[in-house]
Amino acid sequence: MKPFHYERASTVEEACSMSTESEESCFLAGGTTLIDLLKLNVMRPAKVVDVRNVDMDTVDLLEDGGILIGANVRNSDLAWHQKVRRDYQALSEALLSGASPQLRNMATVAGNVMQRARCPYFRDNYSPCNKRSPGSGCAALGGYARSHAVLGTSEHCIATHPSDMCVALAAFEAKVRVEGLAGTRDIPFSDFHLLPGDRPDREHAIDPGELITGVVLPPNVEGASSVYLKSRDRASYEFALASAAVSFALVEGRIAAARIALGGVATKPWRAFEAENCLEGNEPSSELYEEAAALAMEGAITQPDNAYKVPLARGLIVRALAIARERVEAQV
Amino acid sequence: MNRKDGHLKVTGAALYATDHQREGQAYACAAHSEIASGELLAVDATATLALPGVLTVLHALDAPKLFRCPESLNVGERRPPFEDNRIYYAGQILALVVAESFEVARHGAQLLELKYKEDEQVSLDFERDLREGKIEQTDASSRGQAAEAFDRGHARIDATYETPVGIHCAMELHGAVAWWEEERLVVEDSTQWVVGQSKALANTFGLPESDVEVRSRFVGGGFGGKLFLWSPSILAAEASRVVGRPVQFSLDRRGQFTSAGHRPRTRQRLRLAADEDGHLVSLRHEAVNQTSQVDQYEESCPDVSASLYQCPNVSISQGVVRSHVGTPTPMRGPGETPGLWALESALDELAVELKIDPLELRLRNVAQRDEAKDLPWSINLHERCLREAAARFGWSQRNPEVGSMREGSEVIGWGIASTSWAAMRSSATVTVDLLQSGKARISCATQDIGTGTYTVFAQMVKELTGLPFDSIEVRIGNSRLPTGPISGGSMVTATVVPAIAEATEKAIDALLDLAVAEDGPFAGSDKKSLRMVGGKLCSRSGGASRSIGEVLESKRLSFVSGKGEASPGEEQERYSFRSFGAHCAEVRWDAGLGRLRVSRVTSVIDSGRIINLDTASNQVYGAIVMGVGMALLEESVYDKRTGRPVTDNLADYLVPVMTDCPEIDLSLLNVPDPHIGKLGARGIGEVGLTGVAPAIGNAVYHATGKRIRTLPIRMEDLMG
Amino acid sequence: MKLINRDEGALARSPSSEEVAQTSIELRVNGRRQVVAVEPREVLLDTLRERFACTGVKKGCDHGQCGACTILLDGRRVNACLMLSVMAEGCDLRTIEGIASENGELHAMQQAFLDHDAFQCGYCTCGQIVSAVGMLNEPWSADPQSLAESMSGNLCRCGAYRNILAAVSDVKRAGNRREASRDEDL
Repeated sequence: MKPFHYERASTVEEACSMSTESEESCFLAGGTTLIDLLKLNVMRPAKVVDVRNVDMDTVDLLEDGGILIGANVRNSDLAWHQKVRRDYQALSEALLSGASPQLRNMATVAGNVMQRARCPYFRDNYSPCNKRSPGSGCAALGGYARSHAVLGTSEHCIATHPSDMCVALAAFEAKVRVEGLAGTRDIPFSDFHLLPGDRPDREHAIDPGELITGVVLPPNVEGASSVYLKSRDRASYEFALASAAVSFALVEGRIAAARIALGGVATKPWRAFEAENCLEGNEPSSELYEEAAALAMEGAITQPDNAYKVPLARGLIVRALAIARERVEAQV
Repeated sequence: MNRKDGHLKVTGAALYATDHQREGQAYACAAHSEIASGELLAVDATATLALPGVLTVLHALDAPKLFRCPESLNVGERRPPFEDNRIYYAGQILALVVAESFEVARHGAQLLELKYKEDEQVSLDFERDLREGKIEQTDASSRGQAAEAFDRGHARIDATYETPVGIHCAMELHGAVAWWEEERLVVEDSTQWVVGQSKALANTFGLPESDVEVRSRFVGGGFGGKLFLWSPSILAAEASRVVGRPVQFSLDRRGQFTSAGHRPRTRQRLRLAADEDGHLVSLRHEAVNQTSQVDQYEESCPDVSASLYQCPNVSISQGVVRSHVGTPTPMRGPGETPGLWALESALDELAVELKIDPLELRLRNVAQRDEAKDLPWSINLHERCLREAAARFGWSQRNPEVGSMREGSEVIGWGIASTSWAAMRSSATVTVDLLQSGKARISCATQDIGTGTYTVFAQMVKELTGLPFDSIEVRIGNSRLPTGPISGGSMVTATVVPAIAEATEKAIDALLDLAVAEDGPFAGSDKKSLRMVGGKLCSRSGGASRSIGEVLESKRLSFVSGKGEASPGEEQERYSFRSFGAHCAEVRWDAGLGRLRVSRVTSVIDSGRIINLDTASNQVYGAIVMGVGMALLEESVYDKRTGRPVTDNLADYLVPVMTDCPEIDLSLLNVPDPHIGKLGARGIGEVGLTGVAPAIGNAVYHATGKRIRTLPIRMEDLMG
Repeated sequence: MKLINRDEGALARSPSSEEVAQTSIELRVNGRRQVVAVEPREVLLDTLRERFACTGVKKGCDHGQCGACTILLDGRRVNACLMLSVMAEGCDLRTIEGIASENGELHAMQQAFLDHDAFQCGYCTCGQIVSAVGMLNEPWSADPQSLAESMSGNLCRCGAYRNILAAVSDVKRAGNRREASRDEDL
């Protein structure tokens, strides 16, 4: 780990101007991604701007019934938050399925949104990796790719987005609030993370000098229930090999406001729009779930090691939909 | 009774190797090879040496030469670090940066520019090497006519099983703090063998053995990975010699995946044949394991197959394939653990073929004597273990039909496997001192790797003297103490317990001599009329008792001493010693979630007399957890193109966490071995593990109908 | 495709260690006020071990993957290996060395680990105990599955999980009973 400058910001403005002073700067909040990658020499900032003193660590109720989650809210606090547990159950479940209790006590919401890839060739600091070293190639292609993505990949990168929380946020149509010296904007969650394309090093729709200050969750649909299911080898403390967040309501026996998002299988938190459309307005049935699940995984591009993720994710979607339905009916 | 070392361990006061801090201590960090085969041409350390706080950079092109250890002494890697500029595997340590602080050392190592010449010829693909027949046969033996008998068999199995590279993953990394006192080397180390470590370091540095002291009072797990000398201890000592200060050096976690041993990859072909009644008529077990370019390590998988069951026609063989990988080393239950994965899976396949219950098949083939050694068993409770395990587990309720047992979205499978480990003994010398303070002190150069050595030793002396547990001091973990055994092969208890008994008896006898001497408190009495009760001497006929202190005071002595020595004797020629047991496992597979879990394990094990039920049970619980990891989780993957470790950390090489721990029902039979030595204790470390994975694999077959022969068993193996 | 790609370019832009200001931080470690000057890159785990001799905080992986370095930071359990020391400015830190009471009486969790023989080699034990103490402040239920999940951030390679769970359950249930009786008193 090389030396770097360290500064503490206490306001958003301070943070933004501190970070723009140096080309190679990054923000520090929970530290669970940054310090990990600093030690591996994969991230090498000249300056680290600590934003933990910036006042953005509360969960606020919004007038429309939604919530504004401060960027510095810890994963564990959000997971156990009463409103989240009641109205955004999939989010609570996703958070509690991620990492470990210790890491959840450290990791922040904004940090989790900015989580970096877990690809071993990205982390090893000596393999070709277009994400770490643009233009060098992708060692995962033709390498060990059991945990890699099957959706949203390109010939330049197949790294999986590792977050659980983001999958639930995608399903709840969150917006990422970013503030910079030029002002504040809310970026829809689906637009926030970028597909790797031919620039896997560009991961987010955020400009230099902008700071995430919160995540806005719109009110969940009346009567909707949600669930997050995660599959992995180990029973806990492991990144998802596949995961699904689903949410829907039943209106006169028909599915309304269906949302499906996938984790562990895609290069970004993945919304399965076609699958949602297939559910909308129809009566729930296992055949329908299967059909939606098949649509969600259509177009998957697999590697020899990770083809299993297609049936795995399909199975998770079907099961998640069945559980969501049970929960919807239990509400009535 | 709590563990002797328990209080230290729950308060953080137990100091492990790199917890020791020396005045003026420097820190070292290693740079590892990024290529698997080639030559190191140059090391550009300009940027590193320019860092404030860097003390020196050692590397193969610029380091004093070290000596090799003789073949008679086991070491991790025969080739000492920096011997030449050859690169034999990715991750090989090529340079060491020594600095004032850990931060500077790490940064310095990252700044080093290593220039290589990469070889065209690299052996990284085990499967290809096997296909191309690059196997060196190392061992073979047979009895009867295995090939002919196989052809005549009523039911036959011919299947190939594989196990991946396993990493010990002791929570404590390989690391040491080393310093020199004049010409004498002292190392705070983490080793399963203080005696061997000090011998090996003496050879490496060309010192008399008496000039090396290896201390290892606490070892943060070994599992075989710390049996022998690996480079961290050497490099800490070497760096200390160069900079003239104490040096702390530890591998990082990634380094553990290349540079400090592993259980090698194996491929094993099993051919079994049985007659109509399910009696084995032919058994062939051919195994190959991967080894490094620099050492020939044999994972003796088939040995267990030659004696576990009765069979007139047996042939076993072992071979190795040399690859550009680090040198393998024993990992818990070496040989037996991968070997039984193959044998016990194949037996399950044979049971299916014969339509005989897999428990029944094993019962029909229990070995009446050790046919491989042609010796009677000292004792063999294999059959009892199988029956009791099955009864406790509820085996009779098992519906043999595949996939027939369901609960909600889960399909349940039950599997059984035998477990076994050759019971060994080595030599030990122990001294027991009875002190003026009324306490006892026991000394032996062995170590406690978590198995409860401190506790068991104290318990022995307590039983023999009646002294309170807290009044017994156990001194182990230092190479200068009387020579004791390696903590490996489940040998410590069986080896040392008889020596402790002898030493204690002799110490008591010496005390008795003082007591009945002219000016002693029992002057004129016959020694035989006295005995030690509750830590005091008293007459068998009653009357006053005298404390150890009072007896010693009569001669103004600080202590009396007894020395005990124990070695394997002629019993080894007359009997074969083996521990046996049985594991039953229940797995649950949820196809929709891709979720495979082990929900329940029942184990019944005979490993002779159990000295301490708590520590012994704890070890077996842990072995079962490790077996779950082996069966479902653990695989160290190396990139086939580069040989670099891919799953080189504890998030990608998965060891079980608490939620993976099944419900465990354990029974240790606690029947003393009649011949292995005083008390009849055999040791419990390995036998808990060896048969777990096949019990789980057999349960997976029962649940899913899928016979997975390559570990670990993963969801993708069961899907579709 | 080149198989080695170390991307040296970025290194040139880094400040040297002389250019980087040492920061003086003040923190409490096991109740004692400490002031120490650290480089920004110094990690809390290393500071605790090498400067404050809190060697019960163990380095098992150095990457947040094992839990051996678990400490309480203002009462919450965290991994000291993934914090810069500068981040602990003004914080109250508790390590295994500060879990027992001043007079040396063991914390109930330490005692339970002893009584249930909830360790073997003992290397992960400090982290396990501190983690379990931190867990008591979190809203986990006392059923075994929940408690196992609550402790899954602490690896134990000896596999002493069965006994660790028994120890943790004991303390958790005793705490719940105390809380229940307190509620009745109110």
